[in-house]
Amino acid sequence: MTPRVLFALVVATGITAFSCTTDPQQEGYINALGPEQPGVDPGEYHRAGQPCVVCHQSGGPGKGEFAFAGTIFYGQKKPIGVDGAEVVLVDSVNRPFRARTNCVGNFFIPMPAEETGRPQFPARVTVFFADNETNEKLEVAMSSPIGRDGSCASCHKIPAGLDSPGHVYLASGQKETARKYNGAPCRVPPVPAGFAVDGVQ
Amino acid sequence: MNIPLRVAMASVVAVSAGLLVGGTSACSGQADPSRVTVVLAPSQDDFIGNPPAKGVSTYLEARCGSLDCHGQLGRPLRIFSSNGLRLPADGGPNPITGGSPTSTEEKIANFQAAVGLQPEEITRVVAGGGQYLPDRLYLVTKPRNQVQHKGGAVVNAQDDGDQCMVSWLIGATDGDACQRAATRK
Repeated sequence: MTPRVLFALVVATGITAFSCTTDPQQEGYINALGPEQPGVDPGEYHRAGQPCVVCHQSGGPGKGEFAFAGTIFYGQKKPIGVDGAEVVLVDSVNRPFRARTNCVGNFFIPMPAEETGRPQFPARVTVFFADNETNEKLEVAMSSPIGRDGSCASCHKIPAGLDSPGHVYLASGQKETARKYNGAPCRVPPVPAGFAVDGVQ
Repeated sequence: MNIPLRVAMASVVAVSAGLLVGGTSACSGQADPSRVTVVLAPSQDDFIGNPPAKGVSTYLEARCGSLDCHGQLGRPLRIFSSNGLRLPADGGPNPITGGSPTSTEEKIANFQAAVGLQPEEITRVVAGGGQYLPDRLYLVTKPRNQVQHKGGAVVNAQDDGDQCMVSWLIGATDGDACQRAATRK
Protein backbone atom coordinates (compact mmCIF):
# COMPACT_ATOMS: atom_id res chain seq x y z
CA MET A 1 0.00 0.00 0.00
CA THR A 2 1.37 3.41 -0.91
CA PRO A 3 1.42 6.32 1.59
CA ARG A 4 -1.11 8.17 -0.58
CA VAL A 5 -3.58 5.29 -0.36
CA LEU A 6 -3.01 4.95 3.35
CA PHE A 7 -3.63 8.67 3.86
CA ALA A 8 -6.86 8.49 1.89
CA LEU A 9 -7.99 5.50 3.93
CA VAL A 10 -7.28 7.27 7.22
CA VAL A 11 -9.12 10.42 6.12
CA ALA A 12 -12.09 8.40 4.93
CA THR A 13 -12.24 6.59 8.26
CA GLY A 14 -12.25 9.89 10.13
CA ILE A 15 -14.95 11.41 7.96
CA THR A 16 -17.14 8.34 8.28
CA ALA A 17 -16.73 8.35 12.06
CA PHE A 18 -18.05 11.89 12.39
CA SER A 19 -20.44 12.30 9.52
CA CYS A 20 -24.18 11.74 9.37
CA THR A 21 -25.76 10.71 6.09
CA THR A 22 -29.31 10.24 7.49
CA ASP A 23 -31.59 12.00 9.92
CA PRO A 24 -31.64 9.46 12.74
CA GLN A 25 -34.46 11.23 14.56
CA GLN A 26 -36.73 11.21 11.53
CA GLU A 27 -35.74 7.66 10.78
CA GLY A 28 -36.69 6.74 14.32
CA TYR A 29 -40.14 8.28 13.92
CA ILE A 30 -40.72 6.36 10.69
CA ASN A 31 -39.48 3.05 12.11
CA ALA A 32 -41.69 3.50 15.17
CA LEU A 33 -44.75 3.36 12.91
CA GLY A 34 -44.09 -0.31 12.27
CA PRO A 35 -44.94 -2.33 9.18
CA GLU A 36 -48.08 -2.04 7.06
CA GLN A 37 -51.22 -3.71 8.38
CA PRO A 38 -51.56 -7.15 6.69
CA GLY A 39 -53.99 -7.01 3.82
CA VAL A 40 -53.89 -3.23 3.51
CA ASP A 41 -51.71 -1.99 0.68
CA PRO A 42 -50.06 1.44 0.81
CA GLY A 43 -52.62 3.96 -0.37
CA GLU A 44 -55.40 6.15 0.91
CA TYR A 45 -56.77 3.44 3.21
CA HIS A 46 -53.53 2.52 4.92
CA ARG A 47 -52.15 3.34 8.39
CA ALA A 48 -55.35 4.82 9.77
CA GLY A 49 -54.66 6.60 13.03
CA GLN A 50 -50.97 7.13 12.33
CA PRO A 51 -49.20 10.46 11.77
CA CYS A 52 -49.30 10.77 7.99
CA VAL A 53 -46.92 13.67 7.46
CA VAL A 54 -44.06 11.76 9.09
CA CYS A 55 -43.68 10.01 5.72
CA HIS A 56 -45.66 12.31 3.45
CA GLN A 57 -43.38 15.31 3.71
CA SER A 58 -40.74 16.81 1.49
CA GLY A 59 -37.98 14.23 1.19
CA GLY A 60 -39.98 11.59 3.04
CA PRO A 61 -40.63 8.05 1.84
CA GLY A 62 -44.37 8.59 1.35
CA LYS A 63 -45.87 9.19 -2.06
CA GLY A 64 -46.96 12.82 -2.18
CA GLU A 65 -46.47 15.64 0.28
CA PHE A 66 -49.35 16.52 2.58
CA ALA A 67 -50.13 19.84 4.26
CA PHE A 68 -52.60 18.20 6.63
CA ALA A 69 -53.68 14.59 6.99
CA GLY A 70 -55.19 12.25 9.53
CA THR A 71 -58.01 9.97 10.53
CA ILE A 72 -61.41 10.85 11.94
CA PHE A 73 -63.03 8.21 14.14
CA TYR A 74 -66.59 8.06 15.27
CA GLY A 75 -66.45 7.62 19.01
CA GLN A 76 -64.20 7.97 22.01
CA LYS A 77 -64.88 4.33 22.90
CA LYS A 78 -65.69 3.25 19.36
CA PRO A 79 -62.72 4.19 17.14
CA ILE A 80 -64.36 3.28 13.82
CA GLY A 81 -63.33 5.40 10.86
CA VAL A 82 -66.01 7.84 9.75
CA ASP A 83 -66.83 7.90 6.03
CA GLY A 84 -67.70 11.21 4.40
CA ALA A 85 -66.84 13.60 7.23
CA GLU A 86 -65.77 17.04 6.05
CA VAL A 87 -62.58 18.38 7.60
CA VAL A 88 -62.15 22.13 7.36
CA LEU A 89 -58.86 23.73 8.41
CA VAL A 90 -58.44 27.49 8.51
CA ASP A 91 -54.93 28.86 8.67
CA SER A 92 -53.71 32.01 10.39
CA VAL A 93 -54.53 34.19 7.37
CA ASN A 94 -58.06 32.79 7.24
CA ARG A 95 -57.62 30.53 4.25
CA PRO A 96 -59.71 27.36 4.34
CA PHE A 97 -58.40 23.94 3.39
CA ARG A 98 -61.00 21.21 2.98
CA ALA A 99 -61.00 17.45 2.63
CA ARG A 100 -63.45 14.58 3.00
CA THR A 101 -62.72 11.33 4.77
CA ASN A 102 -62.84 7.96 3.04
CA CYS A 103 -64.47 4.83 4.47
CA VAL A 104 -61.60 4.18 6.87
CA GLY A 105 -61.71 7.76 8.15
CA ASN A 106 -58.55 8.94 6.39
CA PHE A 107 -58.27 12.35 4.80
CA PHE A 108 -55.39 14.27 3.33
CA ILE A 109 -54.79 17.74 1.91
CA PRO A 110 -51.94 17.84 -0.59
CA MET A 111 -49.29 20.47 -0.02
CA PRO A 112 -49.80 23.26 -2.55
CA ALA A 113 -46.95 23.52 -5.00
CA GLU A 114 -46.71 27.31 -4.70
CA GLU A 115 -45.05 28.55 -1.54
CA THR A 116 -47.62 31.35 -1.25
CA GLY A 117 -50.46 28.82 -1.28
CA ARG A 118 -49.16 26.81 1.64
CA PRO A 119 -50.97 27.00 4.97
CA GLN A 120 -49.63 29.35 7.62
CA PHE A 121 -49.74 28.12 11.17
CA PRO A 122 -51.37 28.19 13.64
CA ALA A 123 -54.45 26.62 12.12
CA ARG A 124 -57.87 25.81 13.49
CA VAL A 125 -59.89 22.74 12.50
CA THR A 126 -63.55 21.77 12.53
CA VAL A 127 -65.04 18.45 11.47
CA PHE A 128 -68.57 18.22 10.08
CA PHE A 129 -70.47 14.97 9.70
CA ALA A 130 -73.98 14.68 8.32
CA ASP A 131 -75.38 11.25 9.06
CA ASN A 132 -77.76 10.36 6.23
CA GLU A 133 -79.31 7.52 8.23
CA THR A 134 -80.39 9.53 11.24
CA ASN A 135 -80.26 13.03 9.70
CA GLU A 136 -78.05 13.95 12.60
CA LYS A 137 -75.42 16.59 12.09
CA LEU A 138 -72.28 16.58 14.14
CA GLU A 139 -69.95 19.56 14.24
CA VAL A 140 -66.82 19.33 16.33
CA ALA A 141 -64.28 22.13 16.57
CA MET A 142 -60.85 21.47 18.02
CA SER A 143 -60.52 23.48 21.21
CA SER A 144 -56.90 24.48 20.67
CA PRO A 145 -54.99 25.54 17.54
CA ILE A 146 -52.64 23.37 15.54
CA GLY A 147 -49.17 24.73 16.21
CA ARG A 148 -47.12 23.57 13.24
CA ASP A 149 -47.61 19.85 12.61
CA GLY A 150 -49.86 18.72 9.77
CA SER A 151 -50.48 15.22 11.17
CA CYS A 152 -53.43 14.81 13.51
CA ALA A 153 -51.87 11.76 15.09
CA SER A 154 -48.63 13.50 16.00
CA CYS A 155 -50.56 14.84 18.98
CA HIS A 156 -53.61 12.56 18.93
CA LYS A 157 -51.74 9.42 19.90
CA ILE A 158 -53.28 6.37 21.52
CA PRO A 159 -53.85 5.95 24.35
CA ALA A 160 -54.85 9.27 25.86
CA GLY A 161 -52.49 10.39 28.60
CA LEU A 162 -50.07 13.02 29.77
CA ASP A 163 -49.20 14.06 26.24
CA SER A 164 -52.19 13.05 24.17
CA PRO A 165 -55.95 13.57 24.17
CA GLY A 166 -56.32 10.24 22.39
CA HIS A 167 -57.61 9.61 18.88
CA VAL A 168 -59.73 12.18 17.01
CA TYR A 169 -63.40 11.38 17.48
CA LEU A 170 -66.77 12.99 16.77
CA ALA A 171 -69.02 11.62 19.47
CA SER A 172 -68.67 10.75 23.09
CA GLY A 173 -70.84 9.89 26.05
CA GLN A 174 -74.57 9.83 25.37
CA LYS A 175 -74.20 10.75 21.71
CA GLU A 176 -71.91 7.80 21.20
CA THR A 177 -74.06 5.23 22.99
CA ALA A 178 -77.29 6.51 21.43
CA ARG A 179 -76.04 6.00 17.93
CA LYS A 180 -74.92 2.57 16.87
CA TYR A 181 -72.46 3.65 14.22
CA ASN A 182 -70.91 0.65 12.53
CA GLY A 183 -68.92 2.31 9.79
CA ALA A 184 -69.43 2.33 6.05
CA PRO A 185 -68.77 -0.66 3.80
CA CYS A 186 -65.05 -0.51 3.20
CA ARG A 187 -62.44 -2.58 1.44
CA VAL A 188 -60.33 -2.51 4.59
CA PRO A 189 -61.38 -2.88 8.24
CA PRO A 190 -62.52 0.54 9.44
CA VAL A 191 -61.01 -0.14 12.85
CA PRO A 192 -57.23 -0.08 12.55
CA ALA A 193 -54.97 -2.64 14.11
CA GLY A 194 -54.08 -1.66 17.65
CA PHE A 195 -57.39 0.09 18.38
CA ALA A 196 -59.52 -1.87 20.83
CA VAL A 197 -63.28 -1.52 20.49
CA ASP A 198 -65.96 -3.03 22.66
CA GLY A 199 -67.79 -5.63 20.64
CA VAL A 200 -66.10 -4.74 17.35
CA GLN A 201 -63.05 -6.18 15.59
CA MET B 1 7.73 3.41 -1.08
CA ASN B 2 5.23 0.68 -0.32
CA ILE B 3 4.05 0.31 3.24
CA PRO B 4 3.26 -3.28 4.26
CA LEU B 5 -0.49 -3.93 4.54
CA ARG B 6 -0.14 -5.06 8.16
CA VAL B 7 1.44 -1.72 9.11
CA ALA B 8 -1.17 0.19 7.13
CA MET B 9 -4.11 -1.53 8.87
CA ALA B 10 -2.50 -1.02 12.28
CA SER B 11 -2.21 2.71 11.50
CA VAL B 12 -5.89 2.96 10.58
CA VAL B 13 -6.92 1.16 13.77
CA ALA B 14 -4.65 3.39 15.88
CA VAL B 15 -6.04 6.59 14.36
CA SER B 16 -9.63 5.43 14.82
CA ALA B 17 -8.99 4.49 18.44
CA GLY B 18 -7.34 7.84 19.05
CA LEU B 19 -10.32 9.70 17.62
CA LEU B 20 -12.72 7.67 19.77
CA VAL B 21 -10.81 8.06 23.04
CA GLY B 22 -9.98 11.71 22.45
CA GLY B 23 -13.58 12.55 21.57
CA THR B 24 -14.94 10.73 24.61
CA SER B 25 -12.53 12.24 27.13
CA ALA B 26 -13.14 15.75 25.77
CA CYS B 27 -16.81 15.45 26.76
CA SER B 28 -16.34 14.11 30.27
CA GLY B 29 -16.38 16.29 33.35
CA GLN B 30 -17.59 16.30 36.88
CA ALA B 31 -20.39 18.51 38.21
CA ASP B 32 -19.54 20.71 41.17
CA PRO B 33 -22.49 20.47 43.54
CA SER B 34 -21.31 23.49 45.53
CA ARG B 35 -21.79 25.86 42.59
CA VAL B 36 -25.16 27.56 42.47
CA THR B 37 -26.64 30.19 40.21
CA VAL B 38 -28.56 32.95 41.98
CA VAL B 39 -31.47 33.97 39.82
CA LEU B 40 -33.60 37.07 40.14
CA ALA B 41 -36.96 36.45 38.55
CA PRO B 42 -40.04 38.51 37.76
CA SER B 43 -43.15 37.94 39.85
CA GLN B 44 -44.31 34.33 40.07
CA ASP B 45 -47.72 35.54 41.27
CA ASP B 46 -48.15 37.67 38.14
CA PHE B 47 -46.99 34.76 36.04
CA ILE B 48 -49.66 32.48 37.52
CA GLY B 49 -52.16 35.34 37.47
CA ASN B 50 -54.89 36.46 39.85
CA PRO B 51 -57.25 35.58 38.33
CA PRO B 52 -55.38 32.98 36.25
CA ALA B 53 -57.00 34.27 33.06
CA LYS B 54 -54.84 37.37 33.40
CA GLY B 55 -51.64 35.45 33.99
CA VAL B 56 -48.64 35.16 31.70
CA SER B 57 -48.88 31.38 31.98
CA THR B 58 -52.37 31.37 30.46
CA TYR B 59 -51.08 33.31 27.47
CA LEU B 60 -48.13 30.92 27.02
CA GLU B 61 -50.39 27.89 27.42
CA ALA B 62 -52.80 29.13 24.76
CA ARG B 63 -50.34 30.45 22.21
CA CYS B 64 -47.24 28.34 22.74
CA GLY B 65 -48.18 25.20 24.66
CA SER B 66 -49.68 22.99 21.94
CA LEU B 67 -48.38 19.42 21.86
CA ASP B 68 -46.60 20.03 18.56
CA CYS B 69 -44.81 23.13 19.85
CA HIS B 70 -43.73 23.81 23.41
CA GLY B 71 -45.95 21.14 24.89
CA GLN B 72 -43.12 18.65 24.60
CA LEU B 73 -40.75 17.43 27.28
CA GLY B 74 -37.64 18.01 25.19
CA ARG B 75 -38.21 21.73 24.63
CA PRO B 76 -35.96 24.23 26.44
CA LEU B 77 -39.13 26.22 27.12
CA ARG B 78 -41.49 23.41 28.09
CA ILE B 79 -45.08 24.44 28.75
CA PHE B 80 -47.68 22.39 30.62
CA SER B 81 -51.33 23.14 29.91
CA SER B 82 -54.83 21.78 29.99
CA ASN B 83 -54.91 21.16 26.23
CA GLY B 84 -51.26 20.19 25.94
CA LEU B 85 -48.62 18.45 27.97
CA ARG B 86 -49.63 17.50 31.49
CA LEU B 87 -47.53 17.31 34.63
CA PRO B 88 -47.70 13.93 36.35
CA ALA B 89 -49.75 14.21 39.52
CA ASP B 90 -48.01 13.71 42.83
CA GLY B 91 -49.76 10.77 44.47
CA GLY B 92 -52.98 10.94 42.46
CA PRO B 93 -54.34 9.93 39.06
CA ASN B 94 -52.46 11.60 36.23
CA PRO B 95 -54.29 14.28 34.26
CA ILE B 96 -55.04 13.73 30.60
CA THR B 97 -54.60 16.22 27.78
CA GLY B 98 -57.90 17.99 27.30
CA GLY B 99 -59.17 16.95 30.71
CA SER B 100 -58.85 19.08 33.81
CA PRO B 101 -57.81 22.76 33.80
CA THR B 102 -54.16 23.68 34.14
CA SER B 103 -53.16 23.14 37.73
CA THR B 104 -51.24 25.59 39.91
CA GLU B 105 -48.36 23.11 40.01
CA GLU B 106 -48.27 23.14 36.21
CA LYS B 107 -48.24 26.94 36.16
CA ILE B 108 -45.37 26.98 38.65
CA ALA B 109 -43.50 24.52 36.44
CA ASN B 110 -44.12 26.86 33.50
CA PHE B 111 -42.70 29.75 35.56
CA GLN B 112 -39.59 27.72 36.29
CA ALA B 113 -39.21 26.88 32.62
CA ALA B 114 -39.56 30.53 31.58
CA VAL B 115 -37.06 31.76 34.16
CA GLY B 116 -34.74 28.84 33.57
CA LEU B 117 -34.49 29.49 29.84
CA GLN B 118 -31.86 32.19 30.30
CA PRO B 119 -31.38 32.48 34.07
CA GLU B 120 -28.35 34.78 33.96
CA GLU B 121 -29.88 37.07 31.37
CA ILE B 122 -33.22 37.34 33.11
CA THR B 123 -31.35 38.17 36.34
CA ARG B 124 -29.62 41.07 34.56
CA VAL B 125 -32.96 42.34 33.27
CA VAL B 126 -34.66 42.13 36.67
CA ALA B 127 -31.67 43.54 38.59
CA GLY B 128 -30.78 46.10 35.98
CA GLY B 129 -33.59 48.50 36.75
CA GLY B 130 -34.07 49.44 33.13
CA GLN B 131 -30.42 49.28 32.13
CA TYR B 132 -30.88 45.89 30.52
CA LEU B 133 -33.88 45.76 28.26
CA PRO B 134 -36.04 42.63 28.13
CA ASP B 135 -35.75 42.71 24.34
CA ARG B 136 -32.52 40.75 24.66
CA LEU B 137 -34.30 37.69 26.10
CA TYR B 138 -35.43 34.71 24.02
CA LEU B 139 -38.81 34.98 25.74
CA VAL B 140 -39.24 38.15 23.67
CA THR B 141 -37.08 37.68 20.59
CA LYS B 142 -38.11 34.13 19.70
CA PRO B 143 -41.87 34.71 19.39
CA ARG B 144 -41.09 37.89 17.46
CA ASN B 145 -38.93 35.72 15.18
CA GLN B 146 -36.08 38.17 15.64
CA VAL B 147 -34.06 35.09 16.50
CA GLN B 148 -34.46 31.83 14.59
CA HIS B 149 -37.70 30.30 15.84
CA LYS B 150 -39.16 27.11 14.46
CA GLY B 151 -42.65 28.42 15.07
CA GLY B 152 -41.95 31.60 13.15
CA ALA B 153 -43.41 34.94 14.25
CA VAL B 154 -46.05 34.26 16.88
CA VAL B 155 -46.37 37.89 17.98
CA ASN B 156 -45.67 41.29 16.57
CA ALA B 157 -43.73 43.75 18.69
CA GLN B 158 -46.10 45.56 21.06
CA ASP B 159 -49.16 43.45 20.29
CA ASP B 160 -51.02 41.90 23.21
CA GLY B 161 -48.87 38.78 23.48
CA ASP B 162 -45.64 40.73 23.23
CA GLN B 163 -46.92 43.32 25.69
CA CYS B 164 -47.94 40.57 28.12
CA MET B 165 -44.45 39.11 28.19
CA VAL B 166 -42.49 42.38 28.17
CA SER B 167 -44.64 43.98 30.87
CA TRP B 168 -44.11 40.94 33.12
CA LEU B 169 -40.37 41.03 32.62
CA ILE B 170 -40.12 44.70 33.60
CA GLY B 171 -42.29 44.20 36.67
CA ALA B 172 -45.47 45.91 35.47
CA THR B 173 -47.57 43.00 34.23
CA ASP B 174 -50.43 43.95 31.92
CA GLY B 175 -52.93 41.23 32.81
CA ASP B 176 -55.52 42.52 30.36
CA ALA B 177 -53.06 42.15 27.49
CA CYS B 178 -52.29 38.61 28.65
CA GLN B 179 -55.98 37.75 28.73
CA ARG B 180 -56.63 39.22 25.29
CA ALA B 181 -53.60 37.44 23.86
CA ALA B 182 -54.70 34.10 25.32
CA THR B 183 -58.22 34.31 23.93
CA ARG B 184 -57.32 35.69 20.51
CA LYS B 185 -58.61 33.44 17.72
